[in-house]
Amino acid sequence: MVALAIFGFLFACLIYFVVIRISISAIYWSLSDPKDKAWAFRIYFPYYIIILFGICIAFIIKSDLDPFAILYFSMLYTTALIVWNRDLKKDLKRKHTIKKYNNPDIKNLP
Amino acid sequence: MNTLFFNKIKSLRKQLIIWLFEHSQRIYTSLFKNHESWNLTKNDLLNLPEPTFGRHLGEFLDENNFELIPKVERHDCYHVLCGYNTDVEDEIALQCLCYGNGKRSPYLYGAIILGVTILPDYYTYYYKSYKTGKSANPFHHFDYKKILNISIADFRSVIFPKAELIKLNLYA
Repeated sequence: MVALAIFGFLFACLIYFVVIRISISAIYWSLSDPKDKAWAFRIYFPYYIIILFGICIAFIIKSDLDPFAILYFSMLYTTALIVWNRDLKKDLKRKHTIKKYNNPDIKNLP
Repeated sequence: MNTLFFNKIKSLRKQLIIWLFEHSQRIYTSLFKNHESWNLTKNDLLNLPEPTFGRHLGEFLDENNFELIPKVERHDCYHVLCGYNTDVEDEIALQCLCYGNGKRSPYLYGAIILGVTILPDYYTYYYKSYKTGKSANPFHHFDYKKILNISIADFRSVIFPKAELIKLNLYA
């Protein structure tokens, strides 16, 4: 029974992670420059997270403040924040690297 | 076009928060604040000696064209102590800093939840402020009227670790 509960929980986590990942990636795919994640973050992140917050709150209220629902949707919201943050950091690092190697002042480049 | 549109919406979100702050503050003060106000004016504070906390509070009010708000004077003291401005994101970040410092009040919860929800653009700033508040010594319980005459540099050095003072650009 415990194993089944753990399996069910892990499966639910996997599903929500895939849904979040795809929904965020869909925003990047819709851009003219999908690699410019910093710009996408600045423009779309607030609205994405506001809508997600609204959806999470709606489901939590609909579940009569069930503790499991609160935990699940809090995790979902936090995961979305972490995924956006990770994408932004990766993009900033990429841009920093490009800028560094395009700088003619830097000597001893291959 | 896209950027302009989203910037316009962002400024509308900020205006909504300002409107909520202005109206909720009045209601909250009348309902929950029963203590006496300070009965001090901005000019009283500006007459204090240069290095004092009170003088800095007066200068802060003067720069922003404010007067002390009766019964919530300590909120402006937090601004001066932490060096935060009066922009919407700074107000929310200050509430996060106070939360990290251990302050708990219905207004603080409301401001953080509404602020972070409506203006999530600055969430890294909010998180950093929370961490700053957590690393600082508690400052939310002081009777600020009694410490208007102490040196601001000494007060800050007692509250914040040196690394945080440098981060906040307050290290003298």
